[in-house]
Amino acid sequence: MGVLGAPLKGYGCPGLSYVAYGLICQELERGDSGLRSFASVQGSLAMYPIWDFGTEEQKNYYLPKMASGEWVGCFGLTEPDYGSNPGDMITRAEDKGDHYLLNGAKMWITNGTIAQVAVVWAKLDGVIRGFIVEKDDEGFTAPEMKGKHSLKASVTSELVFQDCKIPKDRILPGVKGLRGPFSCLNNARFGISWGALGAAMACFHSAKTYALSRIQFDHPIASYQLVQNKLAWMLREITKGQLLAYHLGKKKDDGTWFPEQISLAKMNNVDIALEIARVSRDIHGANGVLDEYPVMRHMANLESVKTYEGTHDIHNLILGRYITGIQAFTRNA
Amino acid sequence: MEPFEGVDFYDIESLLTEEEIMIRDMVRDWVDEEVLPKKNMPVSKEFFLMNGASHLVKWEY
Repeated sequence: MGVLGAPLKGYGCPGLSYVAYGLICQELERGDSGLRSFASVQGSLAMYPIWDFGTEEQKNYYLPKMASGEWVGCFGLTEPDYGSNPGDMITRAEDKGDHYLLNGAKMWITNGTIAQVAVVWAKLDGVIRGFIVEKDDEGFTAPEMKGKHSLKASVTSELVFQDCKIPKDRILPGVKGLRGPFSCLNNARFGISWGALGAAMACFHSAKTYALSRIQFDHPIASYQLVQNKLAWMLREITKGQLLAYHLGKKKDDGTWFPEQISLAKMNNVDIALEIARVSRDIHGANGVLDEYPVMRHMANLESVKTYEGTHDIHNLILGRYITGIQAFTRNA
Repeated sequence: MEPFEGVDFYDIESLLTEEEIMIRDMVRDWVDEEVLPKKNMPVSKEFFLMNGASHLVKWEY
Protein backbone atom coordinates (compact mmCIF):
# COMPACT_ATOMS: atom_id res chain seq x y z
CA MET A 1 0.00 0.00 0.00
CA GLY A 2 3.04 2.28 0.14
CA VAL A 3 2.53 3.21 3.77
CA LEU A 4 5.78 1.97 5.35
CA GLY A 5 7.76 4.80 6.93
CA ALA A 6 4.65 6.94 6.46
CA PRO A 7 5.77 10.26 7.96
CA LEU A 8 9.29 10.22 6.47
CA LYS A 9 9.99 12.45 3.47
CA GLY A 10 12.24 11.77 0.49
CA TYR A 11 14.27 8.62 -0.36
CA GLY A 12 11.18 6.83 -1.63
CA CYS A 13 9.24 7.34 1.61
CA PRO A 14 5.56 8.36 1.60
CA GLY A 15 5.94 11.76 3.32
CA LEU A 16 2.52 11.62 4.99
CA SER A 17 1.38 13.49 8.09
CA TYR A 18 1.81 12.04 11.57
CA VAL A 19 -1.99 11.97 11.80
CA ALA A 20 -2.02 9.76 8.69
CA TYR A 21 0.65 7.55 10.25
CA GLY A 22 -1.51 7.28 13.36
CA LEU A 23 -4.56 6.32 11.30
CA ILE A 24 -2.54 3.63 9.52
CA CYS A 25 -1.47 2.23 12.89
CA GLN A 26 -5.07 2.34 14.13
CA GLU A 27 -6.42 0.44 11.16
CA LEU A 28 -3.63 -2.15 11.11
CA GLU A 29 -4.05 -2.83 14.80
CA ARG A 30 -7.80 -3.23 14.38
CA GLY A 31 -6.69 -6.28 12.41
CA ASP A 32 -3.94 -7.41 14.76
CA SER A 33 -1.31 -5.80 16.97
CA GLY A 34 1.28 -7.92 15.17
CA LEU A 35 0.56 -6.11 11.92
CA ARG A 36 0.93 -2.73 13.55
CA SER A 37 4.10 -3.92 15.29
CA PHE A 38 5.54 -4.78 11.90
CA ALA A 39 4.76 -1.30 10.58
CA SER A 40 6.05 0.40 13.74
CA VAL A 41 9.34 -1.43 13.65
CA GLN A 42 9.86 -0.98 9.94
CA GLY A 43 8.99 2.71 9.87
CA SER A 44 9.72 4.22 13.25
CA LEU A 45 12.47 1.99 14.57
CA ALA A 46 14.46 0.90 11.52
CA MET A 47 13.85 3.48 8.77
CA TYR A 48 13.60 6.52 11.01
CA PRO A 49 17.12 6.33 12.54
CA ILE A 50 18.65 5.88 9.09
CA TRP A 51 16.55 8.79 7.81
CA ASP A 52 17.44 11.09 10.73
CA PHE A 53 20.96 10.02 11.70
CA GLY A 54 22.34 8.32 8.60
CA THR A 55 24.64 9.54 5.82
CA GLU A 56 23.27 10.42 2.39
CA GLU A 57 24.74 7.17 1.09
CA GLN A 58 23.00 5.15 3.81
CA LYS A 59 19.67 6.88 3.17
CA ASN A 60 19.86 6.40 -0.57
CA TYR A 61 20.86 2.76 -0.23
CA TYR A 62 18.48 1.52 2.48
CA LEU A 63 15.39 3.71 2.63
CA PRO A 64 13.85 3.09 -0.82
CA LYS A 65 14.13 -0.68 -0.35
CA MET A 66 12.62 -0.46 3.11
CA ALA A 67 9.82 1.91 2.10
CA SER A 68 8.75 -0.53 -0.62
CA GLY A 69 8.89 -3.46 1.78
CA GLU A 70 11.53 -5.20 -0.32
CA TRP A 71 13.79 -5.15 2.71
CA VAL A 72 12.51 -5.70 6.23
CA GLY A 73 14.18 -3.89 9.10
CA CYS A 74 14.48 -4.53 12.81
CA PHE A 75 15.71 -2.57 15.82
CA GLY A 76 18.12 -3.95 18.41
CA LEU A 77 18.06 -2.13 21.72
CA THR A 78 16.66 -4.42 24.45
CA GLU A 79 19.00 -7.07 25.84
CA PRO A 80 18.29 -10.16 27.95
CA ASP A 81 19.34 -8.33 31.13
CA TYR A 82 18.61 -4.74 30.11
CA GLY A 83 15.01 -3.86 29.24
CA SER A 84 13.79 -0.69 30.95
CA ASN A 85 17.41 0.24 31.61
CA PRO A 86 19.00 0.26 28.15
CA GLY A 87 21.71 2.71 29.20
CA ASP A 88 23.60 -0.14 30.88
CA MET A 89 23.56 -2.33 27.78
CA ILE A 90 26.37 -4.84 27.39
CA THR A 91 26.62 -4.98 23.58
CA ARG A 92 29.91 -3.41 22.54
CA ALA A 93 31.51 -2.19 19.34
CA GLU A 94 35.28 -1.96 18.98
CA ASP A 95 37.06 0.14 16.40
CA LYS A 96 39.43 -2.19 14.56
CA GLY A 97 40.80 0.37 12.14
CA ASP A 98 39.14 -0.70 8.90
CA HIS A 99 35.99 -2.12 10.54
CA TYR A 100 34.01 -2.33 13.76
CA LEU A 101 33.73 -5.53 15.76
CA LEU A 102 30.37 -6.08 17.45
CA ASN A 103 29.83 -8.40 20.42
CA GLY A 104 26.72 -8.98 22.52
CA ALA A 105 23.08 -10.03 22.25
CA LYS A 106 19.69 -8.39 21.83
CA MET A 107 16.35 -9.93 22.75
CA TRP A 108 12.62 -9.45 22.02
CA ILE A 109 13.41 -8.11 18.58
CA THR A 110 10.34 -7.90 16.35
CA ASN A 111 11.10 -9.04 12.77
CA GLY A 112 14.67 -10.04 13.72
CA THR A 113 14.74 -13.40 11.93
CA ILE A 114 13.18 -12.08 8.73
CA ALA A 115 15.04 -8.77 8.57
CA GLN A 116 17.63 -7.89 5.95
CA VAL A 117 18.66 -4.83 7.97
CA ALA A 118 19.08 -4.40 11.73
CA VAL A 119 19.67 -1.04 13.38
CA VAL A 120 21.65 -2.08 16.44
CA TRP A 121 22.59 0.10 19.38
CA ALA A 122 25.93 -0.70 21.00
CA LYS A 123 28.55 1.04 23.09
CA LEU A 124 31.63 2.34 21.31
CA ASP A 125 34.18 3.65 23.81
CA GLY A 126 31.40 3.75 26.40
CA VAL A 127 29.01 5.81 24.23
CA ILE A 128 25.83 4.36 22.69
CA ARG A 129 25.99 4.45 18.89
CA GLY A 130 23.78 3.09 16.12
CA PHE A 131 25.10 0.53 13.64
CA ILE A 132 23.48 -0.89 10.52
CA VAL A 133 23.95 -4.65 10.49
CA GLU A 134 23.00 -6.70 7.44
CA LYS A 135 21.58 -10.21 7.50
CA ASP A 136 24.65 -11.85 6.01
CA ASP A 137 27.28 -10.06 8.07
CA GLU A 138 29.85 -12.46 9.46
CA GLY A 139 29.23 -13.28 13.12
CA PHE A 140 25.54 -12.24 13.10
CA THR A 141 22.67 -14.67 13.76
CA ALA A 142 18.99 -14.02 14.56
CA PRO A 143 17.27 -17.10 15.99
CA GLU A 144 13.50 -16.93 16.45
CA MET A 145 12.07 -16.94 19.97
CA LYS A 146 9.40 -19.57 20.56
CA GLY A 147 6.50 -20.04 22.93
CA LYS A 148 4.68 -16.70 22.85
CA HIS A 149 1.00 -16.59 23.79
CA SER A 150 0.85 -13.05 22.44
CA LEU A 151 1.61 -11.33 19.12
CA LYS A 152 1.52 -14.71 17.47
CA ALA A 153 1.24 -13.04 14.10
CA SER A 154 4.67 -11.45 14.38
CA VAL A 155 8.15 -12.89 14.46
CA THR A 156 10.20 -12.22 17.61
CA SER A 157 13.89 -12.95 17.71
CA GLU A 158 17.22 -12.73 19.43
CA LEU A 159 20.09 -10.99 17.69
CA VAL A 160 23.47 -12.51 18.48
CA PHE A 161 26.77 -10.84 17.60
CA GLN A 162 29.95 -12.88 17.96
CA ASP A 163 32.91 -10.93 16.62
CA CYS A 164 30.54 -9.52 14.03
CA LYS A 165 32.47 -7.44 11.50
CA ILE A 166 30.76 -4.23 10.46
CA PRO A 167 32.21 -2.03 7.69
CA LYS A 168 33.19 1.45 8.84
CA ASP A 169 30.51 3.13 6.72
CA ARG A 170 27.66 1.43 8.62
CA ILE A 171 27.81 3.52 11.78
CA LEU A 172 25.06 6.15 12.06
CA PRO A 173 27.08 9.37 12.37
CA GLY A 174 24.26 11.68 13.41
CA VAL A 175 23.62 10.72 17.02
CA LYS A 176 25.35 9.64 20.23
CA GLY A 177 23.88 8.35 23.47
CA LEU A 178 20.35 7.28 24.39
CA ARG A 179 18.88 10.15 22.39
CA GLY A 180 19.29 7.95 19.31
CA PRO A 181 17.10 5.01 20.31
CA PHE A 182 14.74 7.22 22.31
CA SER A 183 14.04 9.39 19.24
CA CYS A 184 12.96 6.25 17.40
CA LEU A 185 10.85 5.08 20.32
CA ASN A 186 9.05 8.41 20.51
CA ASN A 187 7.73 7.89 17.00
CA ALA A 188 6.85 4.25 17.55
CA ARG A 189 5.07 5.03 20.83
CA PHE A 190 3.10 7.75 19.09
CA GLY A 191 1.93 5.13 16.59
CA ILE A 192 1.02 2.74 19.39
CA SER A 193 -1.19 5.39 21.00
CA TRP A 194 -3.31 5.22 17.82
CA GLY A 195 -2.86 1.51 17.22
CA ALA A 196 -4.16 0.47 20.61
CA LEU A 197 -7.37 2.36 19.82
CA GLY A 198 -7.79 0.21 16.73
CA ALA A 199 -7.66 -2.94 18.86
CA ALA A 200 -10.07 -1.32 21.33
CA MET A 201 -12.47 -0.41 18.49
CA ALA A 202 -12.42 -4.00 17.23
CA CYS A 203 -13.27 -5.28 20.72
CA PHE A 204 -15.99 -2.65 21.20
CA HIS A 205 -17.52 -3.42 17.81
CA SER A 206 -17.52 -7.14 18.51
CA ALA A 207 -19.03 -6.65 21.99
CA LYS A 208 -21.79 -4.41 20.63
CA THR A 209 -22.64 -6.80 17.80
CA TYR A 210 -22.61 -9.80 20.11
CA ALA A 211 -24.69 -8.13 22.82
CA LEU A 212 -27.37 -7.18 20.28
CA SER A 213 -27.68 -10.73 18.99
CA ARG A 214 -27.23 -12.77 22.16
CA ILE A 215 -30.58 -13.58 23.78
CA GLN A 216 -30.83 -14.40 27.49
CA PHE A 217 -33.98 -14.26 29.59
CA ASP A 218 -35.91 -13.68 26.33
CA HIS A 219 -34.16 -10.43 25.43
CA PRO A 220 -30.85 -9.35 23.87
CA ILE A 221 -28.23 -8.87 26.56
CA ALA A 222 -27.67 -5.40 25.03
CA SER A 223 -31.01 -4.45 26.56
CA TYR A 224 -29.72 -5.00 30.09
CA GLN A 225 -28.31 -2.16 32.13
CA LEU A 226 -25.11 -3.88 33.21
CA VAL A 227 -24.16 -4.58 29.60
CA GLN A 228 -25.07 -1.07 28.47
CA ASN A 229 -22.91 0.29 31.27
CA LYS A 230 -19.94 -1.67 29.94
CA LEU A 231 -20.56 -0.54 26.35
CA ALA A 232 -20.96 3.09 27.42
CA TRP A 233 -17.68 2.88 29.33
CA MET A 234 -15.90 1.48 26.27
CA LEU A 235 -17.17 4.27 24.03
CA ARG A 236 -16.22 6.85 26.65
CA GLU A 237 -12.65 5.62 26.92
CA ILE A 238 -12.19 5.15 23.17
CA THR A 239 -13.45 8.69 22.53
CA LYS A 240 -11.11 10.23 25.10
CA GLY A 241 -8.23 8.20 23.68
CA GLN A 242 -9.03 9.39 20.16
CA LEU A 243 -8.94 13.02 21.21
CA LEU A 244 -5.58 12.46 22.90
CA ALA A 245 -4.16 10.70 19.86
CA TYR A 246 -5.49 13.22 17.35
CA HIS A 247 -4.26 16.24 19.28
CA LEU A 248 -0.87 14.63 19.77
CA GLY A 249 -0.75 13.89 16.05
CA LYS A 250 -1.31 17.56 15.24
CA LYS A 251 1.44 18.48 17.69
CA LYS A 252 3.76 15.96 16.01
CA ASP A 253 2.89 17.54 12.68
CA ASP A 254 3.59 21.10 13.80
CA GLY A 255 6.60 20.15 15.93
CA THR A 256 5.28 21.44 19.25
CA TRP A 257 5.20 18.08 21.07
CA PHE A 258 7.43 16.90 23.89
CA PRO A 259 8.19 13.30 24.86
CA GLU A 260 6.17 13.19 28.09
CA GLN A 261 3.04 13.85 26.03
CA ILE A 262 3.77 10.72 24.04
CA SER A 263 4.28 8.74 27.25
CA LEU A 264 0.87 9.79 28.53
CA ALA A 265 -0.88 8.86 25.27
CA LYS A 266 0.87 5.51 24.86
CA MET A 267 0.29 4.56 28.46
CA ASN A 268 -3.34 5.64 28.57
CA ASN A 269 -4.46 4.23 25.26
CA VAL A 270 -2.85 0.84 25.71
CA ASP A 271 -4.20 0.62 29.24
CA ILE A 272 -7.77 1.35 28.19
CA ALA A 273 -7.50 -0.90 25.14
CA LEU A 274 -6.42 -3.83 27.31
CA GLU A 275 -9.23 -3.21 29.75
CA ILE A 276 -11.74 -2.84 26.90
CA ALA A 277 -10.55 -6.18 25.49
CA ARG A 278 -11.10 -7.81 28.88
CA VAL A 279 -14.56 -6.28 29.36
CA SER A 280 -15.45 -7.23 25.78
CA ARG A 281 -14.46 -10.81 26.51
CA ASP A 282 -16.73 -10.67 29.53
CA ILE A 283 -19.69 -9.51 27.42
CA HIS A 284 -19.01 -12.35 24.96
CA GLY A 285 -19.26 -14.83 27.81
CA ALA A 286 -17.66 -18.18 27.06
CA ASN A 287 -17.77 -17.34 23.34
CA GLY A 288 -15.20 -14.64 24.04
CA VAL A 289 -12.41 -17.18 24.35
CA LEU A 290 -13.05 -18.61 20.87
CA ASP A 291 -11.06 -17.61 17.83
CA GLU A 292 -14.37 -16.93 16.11
CA TYR A 293 -14.23 -13.55 17.87
CA PRO A 294 -11.22 -11.24 17.87
CA VAL A 295 -11.28 -10.26 21.53
CA MET A 296 -9.08 -12.90 23.18
CA ARG A 297 -6.43 -12.42 20.49
CA HIS A 298 -6.45 -8.65 20.96
CA MET A 299 -6.33 -9.09 24.72
CA ALA A 300 -3.31 -11.40 24.58
CA ASN A 301 -1.60 -9.04 22.13
CA LEU A 302 -2.22 -5.97 24.25
CA GLU A 303 -0.48 -7.59 27.21
CA SER A 304 2.70 -7.32 25.14
CA VAL A 305 1.89 -3.85 23.89
CA LYS A 306 1.50 -2.69 27.48
CA THR A 307 5.04 -3.83 28.18
CA TYR A 308 6.97 -3.04 25.03
CA GLU A 309 8.10 0.40 23.87
CA GLY A 310 8.43 1.61 27.44
CA THR A 311 6.44 -0.33 29.99
CA HIS A 312 3.32 1.15 31.50
CA ASP A 313 5.23 1.68 34.75
CA ILE A 314 8.19 3.37 33.06
CA HIS A 315 5.83 5.83 31.36
CA ASN A 316 4.38 6.59 34.77
CA LEU A 317 7.90 7.34 35.99
CA ILE A 318 8.54 9.58 32.98
CA LEU A 319 5.44 11.55 33.95
CA GLY A 320 6.42 11.44 37.61
CA ARG A 321 9.75 13.03 36.78
CA TYR A 322 8.00 15.63 34.62
CA ILE A 323 5.63 16.55 37.46
CA THR A 324 8.08 16.56 40.36
CA GLY A 325 11.44 17.13 38.76
CA ILE A 326 12.70 14.07 40.63
CA GLN A 327 13.70 10.96 38.72
CA ALA A 328 12.53 7.73 40.34
CA PHE A 329 13.94 5.24 37.82
CA THR A 330 17.02 4.32 39.82
CA ARG A 331 18.43 4.64 43.31
CA ASN A 332 21.94 4.91 41.85
CA ALA A 333 21.63 8.50 40.68
CA MET B 1 -20.44 -9.67 12.19
CA GLU B 2 -21.69 -6.46 10.64
CA PRO B 3 -18.95 -4.52 8.84
CA PHE B 4 -16.76 -2.20 10.88
CA GLU B 5 -17.60 1.41 10.19
CA GLY B 6 -15.29 3.05 12.65
CA VAL B 7 -15.88 4.52 16.06
CA ASP B 8 -16.10 8.30 15.86
CA PHE B 9 -18.43 9.62 18.51
CA TYR B 10 -16.88 13.11 18.50
CA ASP B 11 -16.59 13.37 14.70
CA ILE B 12 -12.82 13.40 14.52
CA GLU B 13 -13.19 12.65 10.83
CA SER B 14 -14.22 16.29 10.31
CA LEU B 15 -10.69 17.24 11.43
CA LEU B 16 -8.94 14.95 8.97
CA THR B 17 -7.69 15.91 5.51
CA GLU B 18 -9.05 14.16 2.43
CA GLU B 19 -5.73 12.38 2.05
CA GLU B 20 -5.82 11.15 5.65
CA ILE B 21 -9.35 9.80 5.22
CA MET B 22 -8.37 8.10 1.98
CA ILE B 23 -5.36 6.41 3.57
CA ARG B 24 -7.35 5.32 6.60
CA ASP B 25 -10.04 3.78 4.39
CA MET B 26 -7.48 2.09 2.17
CA VAL B 27 -5.85 0.37 5.16
CA ARG B 28 -9.26 -0.39 6.68
CA ASP B 29 -10.45 -2.08 3.48
CA TRP B 30 -7.22 -4.05 3.22
CA VAL B 31 -7.60 -5.32 6.78
CA ASP B 32 -11.24 -6.25 6.12
CA GLU B 33 -10.49 -8.01 2.85
CA GLU B 34 -7.12 -9.59 3.43
CA VAL B 35 -6.66 -10.05 7.15
CA LEU B 36 -9.87 -10.59 9.04
CA PRO B 37 -11.50 -13.21 6.78
CA LYS B 38 -8.61 -15.44 7.75
CA LYS B 39 -9.68 -15.85 11.32
CA ASN B 40 -7.65 -17.96 13.65
CA MET B 41 -4.69 -15.62 13.46
CA PRO B 42 -1.81 -17.84 12.70
CA VAL B 43 1.34 -18.85 14.39
CA SER B 44 3.27 -18.62 11.21
CA LYS B 45 6.87 -18.05 10.43
CA GLU B 46 5.76 -17.41 6.91
CA PHE B 47 3.56 -14.59 8.07
CA PHE B 48 5.95 -11.84 7.20
CA LEU B 49 8.19 -13.77 4.87
CA MET B 50 7.41 -11.55 2.01
CA ASN B 51 8.72 -9.60 -0.81
CA GLY B 52 6.96 -6.31 -0.77
CA ALA B 53 4.08 -5.04 1.30
CA SER B 54 1.45 -6.53 -0.99
CA HIS B 55 2.54 -9.96 0.21
CA LEU B 56 2.39 -8.89 3.82
CA VAL B 57 -0.06 -11.56 4.76
CA LYS B 58 0.37 -15.24 4.19
CA TRP B 59 -1.81 -16.92 6.74
CA GLU B 60 -1.75 -20.46 7.94
CA TYR B 61 -5.02 -22.13 8.82
